[in-house]
Amino acid sequence: MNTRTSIQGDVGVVTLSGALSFELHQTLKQATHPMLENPAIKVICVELAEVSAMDSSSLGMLLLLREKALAQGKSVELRKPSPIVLRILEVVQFGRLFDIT
Amino acid sequence: MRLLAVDDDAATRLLIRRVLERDGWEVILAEDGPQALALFRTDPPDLVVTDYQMPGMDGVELCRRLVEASEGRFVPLVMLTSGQDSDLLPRSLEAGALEFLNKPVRPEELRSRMRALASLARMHNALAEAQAENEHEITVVKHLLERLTAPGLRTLPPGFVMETLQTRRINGDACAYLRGPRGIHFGLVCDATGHGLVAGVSTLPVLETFNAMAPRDLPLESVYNEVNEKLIRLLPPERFACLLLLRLDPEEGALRILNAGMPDLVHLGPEGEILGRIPSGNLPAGITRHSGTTRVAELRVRPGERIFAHSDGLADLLREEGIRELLLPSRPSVPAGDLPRRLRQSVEGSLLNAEQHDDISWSLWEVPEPHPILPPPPPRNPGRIPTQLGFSVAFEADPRHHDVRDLVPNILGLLGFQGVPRPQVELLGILASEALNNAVDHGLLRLDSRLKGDGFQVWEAARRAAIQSHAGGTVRCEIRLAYSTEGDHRLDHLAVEVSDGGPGFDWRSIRDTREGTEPHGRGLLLLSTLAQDLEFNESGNTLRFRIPCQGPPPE
Repeated sequence: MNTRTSIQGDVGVVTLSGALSFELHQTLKQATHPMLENPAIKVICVELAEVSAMDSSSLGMLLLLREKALAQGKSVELRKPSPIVLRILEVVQFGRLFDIT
Repeated sequence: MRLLAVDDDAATRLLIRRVLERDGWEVILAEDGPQALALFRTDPPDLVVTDYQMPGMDGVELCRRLVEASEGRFVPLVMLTSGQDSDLLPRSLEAGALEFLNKPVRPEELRSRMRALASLARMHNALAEAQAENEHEITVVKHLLERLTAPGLRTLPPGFVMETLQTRRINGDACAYLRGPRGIHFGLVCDATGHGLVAGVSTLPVLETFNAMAPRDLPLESVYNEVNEKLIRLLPPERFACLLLLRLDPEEGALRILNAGMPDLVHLGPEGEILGRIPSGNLPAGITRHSGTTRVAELRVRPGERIFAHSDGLADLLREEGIRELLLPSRPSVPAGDLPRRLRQSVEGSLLNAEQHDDISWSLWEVPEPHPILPPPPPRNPGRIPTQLGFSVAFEADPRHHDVRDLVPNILGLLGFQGVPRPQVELLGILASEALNNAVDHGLLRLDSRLKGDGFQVWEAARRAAIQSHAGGTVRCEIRLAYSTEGDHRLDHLAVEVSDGGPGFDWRSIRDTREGTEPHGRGLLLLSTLAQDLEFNESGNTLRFRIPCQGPPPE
């Protein structure tokens, strides 16, 4: 599981890869903590193009991230999910909670 | 207020109008009975003054008709009399008149009598309104109680009876039943202090706690402590609730009882003989946090024996002797299973002679035969394509020694070689991992996924601790490649079975999590939506599902 981060204007991008499961929480926390603290960042974008699978724990982590972001007045976007990941996001109706692009 | 004056004599009518209008009344007039009745219906007054002697319908008859027409509404009726007819007074009272005025009418007397009656009518109406509101509120609380208990009580197995006979008001009784994991039965008989709404409201937290904790098979002590804590927090000091908690494990032949302030629980033999009694060993819930050790009694029970519990409403009605008589060994001609019917008859019989002052609850369980631990699943979908051809791969591992999820990719690789298309392999990887996670985390380790709400590091630490202290047990995963028996025997579907050595869980209580934002509870949603034919065994420690696919024929 590899995680990269970058900042583009007021958007913080976290790029995840591989099969996501609950081990993700450490790396996701390390990657997003500075973004949550940074007032210049308005949107946290989770790049999913290289993610091959997600389990329910990793879905839960996205929800916790969203909750923290909302508390800071930021939003969370999920970007470029693969077909199978998009299907999972649809099943749990994350479209209601996140911008999925 | 509006007053209807009825008299065939125009002078009296006008006198009444003049006197009372000056006192603030709206006065309407009628010359005779039929006219009065018509006005009464179209323009209902708050009070009626009628002459007795009138041609056609007299005052007594008019009163009788007015009472009928008022349909329960309280309208004081006043009779004007001039004669010395000694028979008139009782006949008028019987017909519904409330007051008498002598003719000729004296203005001062008329004014003061009408003022007194007006204030009586106002009080009466205020009381009726308050009562209607109270009854509405009681209906709402009854509905809440029903919502909390009915789903469980509908699943009462044969041989189990639990009933609450409520009074028109509420008196705080409730019965609840739930089926826990591994066929364990949980019961609650509860009697909150006081009457009316407060008693009803007091039972709501008791029921909610029972409903939340019983299906997870938490110890009765914990359920009691939680109820106690909640009631202390929520209720005023003088309010509390007596309760009896039951946990029957037919497999072990063990009945656990926590009696807190309820009448003795009675253990009956198959012939109705009394084998023992369990008196209350604990304070009712909601009194103090410092009542010492919580006492739970344990009884060995055998199939066919019965367990009888009741609230004190039954004791009040039938008296100790009455209950003892009911429980006497039945005569050979009366089958032992007849007790519920005799109970109902006895209660109904006693209620004929007495008003019901308190709710009455009782619970009678006949200890069932133990179940086979894993009953065979019922045959399903007989019409589907028979898929006898195929092979399966399986692994079984102990989570103390292997992270089972690491094994999944190896299996997926193997399936790839067998020509299973890539999308189905991907989906299988996701769903098998999800099912295995559940089997390990919840099935074996009994972790509560609500810990995830506290952040995943809490969850991970709890998981690591649970693995280290885990006594052992394995999870097993089997994947079967099923080929069609028809045509060229192409691959038809993947059948997956994941089981664990834990006690299982109540899959009937799974809730839809799509609407919520809690960070847990979506694993089964994924499985039930993305897989086909998801099913659990009875105890909930084995799940099966299918992934349909169109693959090549076998090599």
